[in-house]
Formats: sequence, structure tokens, C-alpha cells
Amino acid sequence: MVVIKEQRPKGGRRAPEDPNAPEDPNAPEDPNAPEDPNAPEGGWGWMVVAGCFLATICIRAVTRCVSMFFVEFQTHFEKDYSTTAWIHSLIDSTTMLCAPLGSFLGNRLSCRATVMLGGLLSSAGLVLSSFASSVEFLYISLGVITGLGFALSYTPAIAIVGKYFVERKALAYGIALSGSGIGTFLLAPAVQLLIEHYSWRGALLILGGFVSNLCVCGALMRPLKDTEVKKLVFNQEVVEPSINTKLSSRCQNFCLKTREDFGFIWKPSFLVLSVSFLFLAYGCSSPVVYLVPYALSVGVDHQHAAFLMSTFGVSGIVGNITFGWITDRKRLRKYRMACYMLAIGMEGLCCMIIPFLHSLPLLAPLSALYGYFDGAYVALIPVVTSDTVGSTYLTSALGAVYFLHGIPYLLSPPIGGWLVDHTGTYTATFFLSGASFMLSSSLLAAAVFVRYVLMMCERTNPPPVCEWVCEWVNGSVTVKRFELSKKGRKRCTSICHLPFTELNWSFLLLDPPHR
Amino acid sequence: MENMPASWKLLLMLLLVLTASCGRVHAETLAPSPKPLASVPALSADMRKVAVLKSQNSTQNVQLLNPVNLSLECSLTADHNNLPNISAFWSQDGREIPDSRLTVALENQQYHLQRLFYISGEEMLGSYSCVFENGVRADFILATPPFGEVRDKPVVSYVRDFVVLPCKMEEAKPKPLSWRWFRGNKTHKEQISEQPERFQIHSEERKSKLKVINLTHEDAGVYYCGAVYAIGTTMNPIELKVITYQEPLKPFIGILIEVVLLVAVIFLCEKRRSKKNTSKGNEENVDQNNIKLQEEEKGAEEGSSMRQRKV
Repeated sequence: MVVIKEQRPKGGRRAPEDPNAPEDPNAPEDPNAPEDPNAPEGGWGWMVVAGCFLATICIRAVTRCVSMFFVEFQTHFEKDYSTTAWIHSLIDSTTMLCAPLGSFLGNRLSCRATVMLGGLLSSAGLVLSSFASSVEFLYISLGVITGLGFALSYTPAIAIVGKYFVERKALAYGIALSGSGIGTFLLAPAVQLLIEHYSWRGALLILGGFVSNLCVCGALMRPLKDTEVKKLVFNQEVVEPSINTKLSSRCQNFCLKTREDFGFIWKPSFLVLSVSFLFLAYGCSSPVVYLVPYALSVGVDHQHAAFLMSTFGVSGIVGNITFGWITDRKRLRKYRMACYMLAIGMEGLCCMIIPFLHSLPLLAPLSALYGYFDGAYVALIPVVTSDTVGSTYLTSALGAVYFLHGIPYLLSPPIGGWLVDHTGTYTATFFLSGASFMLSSSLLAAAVFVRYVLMMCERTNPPPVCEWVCEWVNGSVTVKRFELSKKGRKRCTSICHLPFTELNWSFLLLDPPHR
Repeated sequence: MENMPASWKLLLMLLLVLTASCGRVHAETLAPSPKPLASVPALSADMRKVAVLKSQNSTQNVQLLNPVNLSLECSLTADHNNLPNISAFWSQDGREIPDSRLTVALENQQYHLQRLFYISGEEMLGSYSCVFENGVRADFILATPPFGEVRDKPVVSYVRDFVVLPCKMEEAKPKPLSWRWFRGNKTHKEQISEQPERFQIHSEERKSKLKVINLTHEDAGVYYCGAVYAIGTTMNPIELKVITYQEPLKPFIGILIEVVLLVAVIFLCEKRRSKKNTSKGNEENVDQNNIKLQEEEKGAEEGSSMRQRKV
């Protein structure tokens, strides 16, 4: 057999831009291995976190505060509640459903340019809606234009935090995502004041100005220096080794690039994660909406019901930051997925307990607990996604994740409302949401278990290894070795750094090494 | 509304006669001037409101919708003095009603004063009080049903825009017969009539909306929404403020300027930093390239000697 001297790539570790390196989908990801050795881990990274924090305020908090305009819209345009409530659903769902577009542009242009573009678009949408003459106009200017602008800004802003941090990723995300809670807290009275002084037209105009601060957030998001070379993907059938190929057209280049961008989708671990996100997003939208009406129905008065909501908000902020800090501890980092599953499971449990509580002294601590775990899992969503797909794919993966959030956001409120009208109580809605959470959590647990079992099986039969040798025109040689998966995938994929010149490469198939 | 049964009416009349005679006896001994009798009601009372007093004043709100015969009663619990008779009178809006002063006799530890009023119209509404000699009084405030939520902040709108002023009477209160809108101040109110170009009024049972179109600065002021009942109209004041677009434009432009400045500052700082880095980096790069070339040469040699490649 061929003797091989293994040549390790420069740097002593796996090369950074290597998204296909976890080629063996059954091998567990090692969260302790730094995915990006270039992550600055502080310094300008904290400015990026501040930028993301401000972006979250401008996007999530403003979306929530738009519902404060509904009474004004109802009086002015003489429409009923459900017609105006559509505006909020439109903004929310457009923001989530167009998230893949945001991540696509974030990959093509840069995170900075996309966020600034999103800021301009959403600000224009809000300014335009201050001149609205009908509710349909508001649907388009607020729902579509502003929602699209938010979608362009949201995903790249969150993705870039993951590129700047590896060690303290969860804490960084916790701080950045706490913006939605803190922002709602600060912005709600401010918007009320604006509406009182300037009526809804002036308030929308000034809100448009506020949202243009997304451009400042975008300016803060300095892109990390990539290597100055293009990346291309080579696919080689195992059966036919040693073929010399030259890359021909730019079109092929583009297709390959896009496939490379979204190639993570077919990873089983990501598929399982997406299904669990679907259930999670279904569960999370209803209880927040129905907590206050439920409290009012069991006899809590208006002021105390509002107090429940603020408890929920404040404990959400606490949960964001503390859970992020906790899961960053070195010992817990291996078990981050388990912490995430725990947070969702506890959330589902709290949700199911709510219908059994009938008084304020019981509801208040439960709402604090519920809010804590709500903040906890929200902070962990980008972290878990990044752990599953790696930091290179993070932008695209987040786009897909938020897209999956959008569909249940559209479906859950009408279904919840139908259940409430049909059964007359809120019990069914809360149970359904709680069950949804538990299902999401158990799906992930089952996937981890299956993966563990398969890993045990594979230890006995090591898969074959393939090796790429790239010989550059300037004489240097790069070697990469990969294990082929057992499931009949006969492709050995690699990335070669191509300094805009032609490339000769060759391919070798080796026997499995002895372990 | 309580209808007094016949037996009670008889008892009351007897009581009154007794009191009158008592008073007359006392009057001869205490004061020379005779006191008039309370007028015996010819009609029966439709509504009865009672105030029970001890040593403090009391106030009661009475909601009226239609013209009504209202019987107002005050019962004063006797204190330790235990005077056999006490004088009292009725007053309307602070002024004593003529011929209403009475002497009330003590019975069952209480002084009981009663008067029947016929409330026919809005001018009869107001504050009625029974005042006893020792200063204790009970006020009855007769009014049409008031509005629950009174808006204290003005409605703001823009020149050349339209505004809708809403008015609502809650479910718990009785339904008004109709709605009217007025404009002016507390003393002089002018009713607004529907003019298609300027004002549109849309009224339902419990809600009414006034739409003022094509606003100008002169349209600012207080508007009154009136819920009309048979006996009177309840007014709800709504203040309208008219402003131009320039008012919110100033903070908006301020925020835009701040955003442009911040973005410019951030980009400038970055450019300066990158200039510094490139000047430093150029020196380092040359060294690094030398090291790289040496390593690669080593690697190429080893690779070609140790490996057999299938080409």
C-alpha cells in the first residue's frame, strides 16, 4: 500500500475555512475545538455586541411597540381590531420569512452592508407609513417594506456576533439578545409619549428616525479579515481517482458557491434541529399573548396583570444574560445542547402548569420562571445553531432558522384564538404550547441518543480515508485527509485555496488506517 | 324606583300631622312665628333616596334619565343632647328653598326629614341638600349619567388632515336617546351641525364619532360630546390640538443628523486604524513571506521523496 507521510496544514490545526471537514455526519461535533482560530474574542467584538444589542432594540422592540398604535389606527381609519392586528402579524412574519434573503445578502455583500441596507429600507418604510391614508397602505409600508428591512438587518447582525466570539459566545449572545426585553421596557413609555404629543403620524416619523440607527449598528460591524483567496469546492467521485480539471465558468462558480453556502441544510443534525425549531416556534408565540387575558379571567385586576407582564419581561432579560454566562463555563460547554433542551423542557412545564393556577401569588413566581427560561432559550438558539453547523455557515443557518420560526408565528395565534373561542377557556391553548415545547426538547434528546449509539457502533469499523493533494503553481503543496462516511457517500470533498491561478490536484484513496 | 305602599303613606301622613302639631305647640312656647307645614304630596314618589346621618356630612350621586317625582329623605341619629325637636331646611345649589324650614320631632332616636321634588327638566338638576340645625347636612347631587373615561390629554392632529373624535357611553350606564356635538367653552356652547365638507357625525347606540375634515389652526379648541337623555345632556369635553408637520420633523432631522455623524465617525476611525495597520503590516509581511517560502520548500521536497502519487 502507499506510504504516506501526513503533512499537517499550516497552523497545526484544521484550516479555518473548512466547512466540509465534519464530513462524517455521525462524528460528534467537538464544541471544545475552536471553530475559527481568527475569532478576536473581545476588543472590537464587544462593540459588535453593542451594535447587535442596538439592532435588536430597533428590530424586536419596535415590532412589539407597533401594537401600541392599533387603538389610534382603529379610531382614525374606523376599522375593527382584527383588521389592524394584521399589521403586527405581517411585520413579524415578513421579518422571519425573509431572513434567508438577509443571510444570502450577508454572505454575498458583507454583514455590514446588509445591515445598513436593511436600516435604510425599514426607516423608509416607517417614514412612508406616517403619510398613510388607509389601512391597506399601512399593510404595505409597515408590513412589507419595514418587515423586509428588518429581515435584512436581523440575521447578519446576529451572525456576526458568532464570528467574533467562540469562547464567550453564549454570553455575547445573551447580552446582544437581551436588547429585545430591555428595548420593549424603554421604548413602550417613549412611544406612548410620542403618540400623545405628535399623534400617530408624528410618532411613526420619529420612530423611523430611531430605526435608522440600524445604519450605525451596521457601521460597527467590521468584517473579519478573510483570507484573500477565493474558496471553491471540488467534488470527486471515489471510483475515478486522479483527474485533472480546470475550473471553467463563473456560472459554475456561483452555483458551487451557493451550494456551498447552503450545503449544511442536508446535515442530519441540522435537519433534526430545524424540526425541533418548528415545534419551538409554535409553542412560544401563544402563551405570551394569552397570559394577561388568562390572569384577568381568573380575577386578577388590570394593574396586577400588567405587573405579570413586566415580571415576564424583566426575568427574560435576566435569563438571557445569566444563562449565556452559565453555558459559557468550560465545564458546561460540552453540555450546551443539554442546557438548551433543559430550558425548553422547563418552559413547556411552566406552560402546562399555568392553567392550574388561579391567583396572583401563584401566577407571579410562575411568570418570572417562565420569563427566565424564555430568555434562556432565546439566547441559546444562535449558539446551538453555531455549534451544529460551524461558524462559517452561521449566517446562512440563522437565515434558515428564523425562516422556520416565521411559519409557526403565522399559524399559532389564529389556532390559539380558535381554541379559546371553541373551548371557552385558555387551558387547551396552554397545554398545546407546553406539549409543543416538550416535543421539541424530546426530539433533540432522541437525536443525541441516536447519534451516541451510532458513534459507539462506528468505533468498531473505521471508515475509509481519502486524501487530497493540491499542488500549487508556486510549488507549495496542501494535503487534506478525510474519512468517508459509511452510508455509501462516495464523495470526497475538499477546499483548496486558489490564488486566482490554475491548479493541479490529485486524489488518493487509502485503506483505513489501523486504530 | 320604589313605590310606597298605601299603609306606609298613611303612617307618614299621621306622622307629619303629629309633628306639625308638636311643632305648633313648641312654636307657641319657644318662638312666636308659626312654622309652615310640609306640603303633603299629591302625587306619589317614583324614586326615593335616603341619607342616614350621624355626625358627619354625606354626599350622594343620583343618576336621573327621565322627569321624575323624587323623594329625598334625611335621617339624623340623635346625639347625647336628645333634643325633642330640631329645625331643618332644604337648599338647592346652596340657596335655601323658600318655605322649606321645618321642625322635626325626635322619634326612635332619629330626626326624620323628607321632601318630594318634581324634577322636570335640566334646570332642576343640581345639588339638593337637607341642612339640620346642628350643621349636619346631606347633599344629593342630581345629574344625568356621567361619562366613565374622561380623556385628559388633547387629541393631536395635523393641518389638512382629518381627525375622528370618539365618544363612548359604557355598557354599565344607560343608553342615551341621541348624541349631539358642541363646540365652545364652558359658558357658551354652539351645536355643530353636519356639513359634508367639514363635519361628519356618525352615531350608534352607545358610541358617537365626530369627523372633522380638512383641519386648520382655527379648528383647535374644546369640543363637547353630548349624550342626550330625556331630562338633560351629559357633556364630555375633548380638546383638539392642530399642529403642522414641522413639529415632529425637527426631532426626526435631529436623529438623522446624529446617525450620519456617528456613521462618519466610525468609518473615519476605521480608516485611520487600517492605515496604521498596513504600514505596520507591510514590514511584518515581508518577514513572514520569507519564513513561509522556506517551509514550503522543505515540505515539497519531503512530499516528493516520500510519496508515490498516482497521476
